[in-house]
Amino acid sequence: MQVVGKSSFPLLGGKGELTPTSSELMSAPEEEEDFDILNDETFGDGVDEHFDWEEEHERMAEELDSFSDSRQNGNKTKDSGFDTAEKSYRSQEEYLEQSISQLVVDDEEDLEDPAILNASRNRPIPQSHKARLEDLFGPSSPPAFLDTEHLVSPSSKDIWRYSRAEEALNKQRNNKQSNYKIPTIIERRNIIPQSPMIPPQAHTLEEIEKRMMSKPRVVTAEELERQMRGETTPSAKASGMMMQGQRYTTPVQIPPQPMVSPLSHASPYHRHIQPPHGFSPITQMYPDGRNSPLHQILASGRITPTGNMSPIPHRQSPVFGMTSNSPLGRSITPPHPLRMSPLSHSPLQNHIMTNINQHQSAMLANAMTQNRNFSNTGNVPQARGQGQYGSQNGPRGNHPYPDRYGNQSSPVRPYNKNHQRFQGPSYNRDYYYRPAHEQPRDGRSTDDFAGLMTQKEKDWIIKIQLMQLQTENPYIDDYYYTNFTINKKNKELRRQQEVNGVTTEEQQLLIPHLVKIEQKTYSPAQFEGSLGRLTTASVHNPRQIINITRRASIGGEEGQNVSKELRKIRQLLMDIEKGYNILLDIDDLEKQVLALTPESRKPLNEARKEKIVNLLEYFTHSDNPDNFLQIISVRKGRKLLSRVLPLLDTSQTEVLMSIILSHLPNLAKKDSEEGTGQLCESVTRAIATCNLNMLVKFAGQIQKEYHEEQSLKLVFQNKLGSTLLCCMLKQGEVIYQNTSPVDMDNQLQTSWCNFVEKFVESLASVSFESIATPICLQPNIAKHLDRFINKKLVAGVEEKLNLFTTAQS
Amino acid sequence: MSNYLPGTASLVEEIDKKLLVVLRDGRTLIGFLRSIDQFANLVLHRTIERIHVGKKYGDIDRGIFIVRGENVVLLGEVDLQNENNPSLEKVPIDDILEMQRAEQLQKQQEEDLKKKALKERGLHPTDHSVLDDYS
Repeated sequence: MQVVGKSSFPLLGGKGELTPTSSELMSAPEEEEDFDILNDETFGDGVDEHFDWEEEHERMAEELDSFSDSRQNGNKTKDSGFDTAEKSYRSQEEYLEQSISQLVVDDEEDLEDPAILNASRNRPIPQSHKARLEDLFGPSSPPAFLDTEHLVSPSSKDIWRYSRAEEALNKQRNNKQSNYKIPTIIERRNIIPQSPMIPPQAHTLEEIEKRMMSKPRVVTAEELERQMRGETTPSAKASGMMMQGQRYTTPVQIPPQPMVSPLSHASPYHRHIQPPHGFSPITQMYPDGRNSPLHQILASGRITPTGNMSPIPHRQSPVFGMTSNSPLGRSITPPHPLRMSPLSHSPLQNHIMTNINQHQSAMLANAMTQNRNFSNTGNVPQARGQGQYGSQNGPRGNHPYPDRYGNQSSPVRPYNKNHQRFQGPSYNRDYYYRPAHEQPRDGRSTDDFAGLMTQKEKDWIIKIQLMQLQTENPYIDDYYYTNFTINKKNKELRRQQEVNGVTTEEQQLLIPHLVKIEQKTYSPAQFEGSLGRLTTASVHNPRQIINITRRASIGGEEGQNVSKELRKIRQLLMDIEKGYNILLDIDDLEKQVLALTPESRKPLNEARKEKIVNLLEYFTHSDNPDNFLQIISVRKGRKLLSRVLPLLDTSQTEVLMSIILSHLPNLAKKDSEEGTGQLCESVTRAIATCNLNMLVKFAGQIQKEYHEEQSLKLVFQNKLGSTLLCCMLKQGEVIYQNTSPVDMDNQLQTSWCNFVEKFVESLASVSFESIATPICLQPNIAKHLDRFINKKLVAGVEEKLNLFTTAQS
Repeated sequence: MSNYLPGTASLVEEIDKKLLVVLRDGRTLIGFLRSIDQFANLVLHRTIERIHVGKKYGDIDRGIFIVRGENVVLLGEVDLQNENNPSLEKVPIDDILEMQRAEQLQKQQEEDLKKKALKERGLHPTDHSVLDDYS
């Protein structure tokens, strides 16, 4: 091909003017007139005039087609029918027409978008060179791999699924991931981990499951993005590298929608199969983000089967988009969304259905519902919003307010009961608030541009956010929130227990002991035959740029200046801190223990006991009697003491209690300071576990401490003391009630009797005003006193006794 | 707090609402949030930029804004019922721009004085006008 350039630039063959300032470069050494840039040398041999690049391309496309075909031949068993159907088309044209017609069906989804309202999708693509177009743009051509239409088309079972070509790629890749154990979470009641259960659901689900079965993949946000964009997934190598450095994350799955079953209706969009029977708990698959470990455990009754987890495909969104916006109210059935996880059904689960569970399902249901609602802010003509709940609400006028509110309540109603239990007033408030903000009251009730963001997209964002919230160790990542939710849940349970009278165990968050990936020290990957070292850092294994190690601080010498006093105090504080560390370790052990089998718990339990002993020893240093006093003088020390006390067993309790009591006067002085209140509580609880022997012992000790005054007067005057005494008496009463007089040691009885007498005497002598109220009232004291003391005496102290027994206004 | 993200918040709920967005450079935008992404990039529709000077404010119509997420300081819902009766006085745009310029000038002068004073006392003045995380 010869082209004569029309430009004025001489080098391009044009005959432009040469200005005097033109550079030397412009004139080539050779005679430039003869120098034709656009010649064969530059552009190649023009000999082959018959070369038709279009033909070549056709051929190549065919080859590619056959190539991808051959790959899929091996997938016949797992084929969903899509491929085989495709191959039956005689020509690419047919196929294109088919897919176009299918596209039309899909249209409804986007009809809400006013921007494209006028655009008609029914117009066929103008095809001048039909054959070529198919090659270039048909399903088997290379660009088709990138075609999002395949994702959107209803013939692909779900939009989050890759196109079939990508599937093939993935199958290869998935083999690499078979080593990964997916972290699973167990509910407390179901202590022994069970093997995955076969869902007793309709067989359609099983079918679907089988089809969808592939090795579980951990999804990264990047992959999600790619999915969304419809790109081909990255090379196996790259993703493999990503996986390596990746920690365990429970893959987020918006509960997979069961696929179109033969049982369900004609429309491919009615994805919900059965009415919820209590929303079987979706275990890990909830996009609950941080709550997924929490709630799943609290809710579900079994481990998620590792192998059974459906691949990432999330298929529920189209349903929502569909149902909410179908103008004709096509899907009138109330949106109860997904819930039917095929995997999570088990008899155990059904039995263990808890509020949270239902709440969870309800939550997501509402999430989706709400999403839709919110996106309909005053925008969509009311018909659409109603179409969704058509059967429930009936037509309403154009008044947005009650409509929205009405809309909210109907889907909420079935779930509300469960919902509210968990979230209570704040949740209700949320609902009430929304309507006020949603609609502009100025009469402009339609917002033409609303709904620009489809439900799919919103779900996608939410999914990403939820993934970011996922954690395998909630206690580390978000301790306070975890505790908060657990406490809330337990409170609910307790409240329920009161109402129902049924005792259910308090739930605790279980975190299974995960097999941790060894953290290899980073060594940069090296490539063969590359020039220099290529960087292979990614988000998950960032490259270490600076190696900073901390040197032990060299500030030891300056300690000389610090006085001995100060050092002692610091040492004391350090010791108390160590005590707390041990407490934390004990706590951790307790948590780990929950998730294990009884056998594997043993070592942990032993470790725990050891630590407790350590703590006890710290308090009971016999070599330094002042030690205890010192500890007590620090608030943190008192708190430590009160936290240790409940952990001890009986004999240990006895020991520690004696020590406490021996220091009672000192402790009494600290009554007003912080930490003693907690001590009172722990002490109370400790006494409640005592037997008579111990009680007597304690009594003796108290008396010993105050033996100068020969009265327990002083004891009453501080909170700790009076609490102590009251508790002791209460416990005495309990013991006396429960044991027959025969069993009790006479000696003990007499000593106890003496003590009680002393008690009454002191009470009588103490002035009414100076008595400190115990932290909790013990109404049985009076009864107990009656056993030993004659009525007259008791009557004398009745008034003061009332301080201990009845609530004072 | 949304139901599907307990314990956190998401911009998804703010879609199609009228929001007031404050940017890092101090601008205030008011518009309908149409779309977001995972980085909190925002698409604002029917946006107006509101300039406040003292008790007065002026609006400039801006149309559609796409804001990069990292530049957003905060955003909040506009109370549609009360938005038309603020205690502030609306003035025409040119006036407010004038006032803004005057305010800037004044601030600059104050800054210069302060800098000078600091220098005289031997202290090194730092530039606080640029709110940068890394400096």
